[in-house]
Order: sequence, then structure tokens, then C-alpha cells
Amino acid sequence: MPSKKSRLLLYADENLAVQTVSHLKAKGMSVIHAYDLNYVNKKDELHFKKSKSIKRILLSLDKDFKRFKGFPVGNHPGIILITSGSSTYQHINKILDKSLKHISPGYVKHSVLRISMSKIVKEKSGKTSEKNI
Amino acid sequence: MTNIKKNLMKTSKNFYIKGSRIPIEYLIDYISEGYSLTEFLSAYPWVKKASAKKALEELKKSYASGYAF
Repeated sequence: MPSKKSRLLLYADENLAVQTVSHLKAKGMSVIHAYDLNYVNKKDELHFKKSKSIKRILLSLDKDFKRFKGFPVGNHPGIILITSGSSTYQHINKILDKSLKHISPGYVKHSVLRISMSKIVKEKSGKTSEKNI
Repeated sequence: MTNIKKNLMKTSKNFYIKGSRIPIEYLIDYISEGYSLTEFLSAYPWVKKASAKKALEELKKSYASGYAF
């Protein structure tokens, strides 16, 4: 289980499969699914606001969150966006297993991270940096 | 595309399964990788089976080449 100090507090929007959320929980991660809150069929903006209001990192597959201006993360815990060739939960679980261990709350704070099987791309204040994993 | 619009929801960029915010591409990913419709619905339990089936039917109609058996 991750230490409390470095623990990621995640809010998974409705693009994430139930199996992915269960997978993360089984690994000891703190995840709240939009479905757990009966917060489905909601627009992207509402998931963004919800994650901010409960002070959790937004975890999504929705490419719309790449739009930095549409989702200002200046005072947001951050967004982790899974960029994947497939949306199936097994594929997504593999990406998360590989990438989340490289991400701390401080690293994602006020940022948008795009994660894939091979790298993490971070956008913060208009600057982009990459990390191979 | 008229048929697709009937049973899918369209936003500025994406088609969603009607009654949900789940893009139709997700359903295609699951089916093309060998998952069943039931498995897809277990991943997104708030998506109605009838809506997912209709989405597939509309895709089939829209992209069918029109040849007859």
C-alpha cells in the first residue's frame, strides 16, 4: 500500500470502467468513482468541478481534458489523462499499474498529465515536459 | 449519418451511446478485442443494454455496403 504521505487521492470520472476502479482499490489506492456517487451522465465540466470540490485528482480517458484553457488547473489537484489505443479495462489497468508509481500528488498538482504505456507528458503553466517510464 | 444520430447522442466532437456519456468508440474497442456486450455493460453498468444494442445496430446500418444475400 502506498504511504499516506505520497498517496494519490483520485476521482475517476465515468469514462473509467468499474473494473479499473476496483483494480486500483484492490491495490490500496484511494479512488472515488463517479458511479459510486451516482454522478454519471454528466458533462466534462461537472466532473472537473466535482474533483476540485472534493480535492481529488481527476482521472479520465476523455481527450477533451487536454484543452488547458477549458479546464484551468491552476488551483486544482490536477488531471491524469490516460491516452491509450484502447479503452478496454485490461489495457487501462496495465497503463495505470505502470505509470501511477511514478506520480506523486505534488507532481500532478496544478498540472495535466497524459500517461501512456511508455511515457508521462506533463503540462503545467503552458510548459510541457516528458518522462519515459 | 441520420440513422446514427437517431440512437446515438452527438456533442461537438463525439458520438455517445444514447442516455450516457460513453463514447461509441469504447464499445467498438471492447467488441473488436473479443469482449462480449455483457462484459462491456459490466464495465459501464449505467449504460442500458438496449441503448448499446441500438448503437451497434445503427453503426451496422450506416456502414453496411448494401449488398444482398
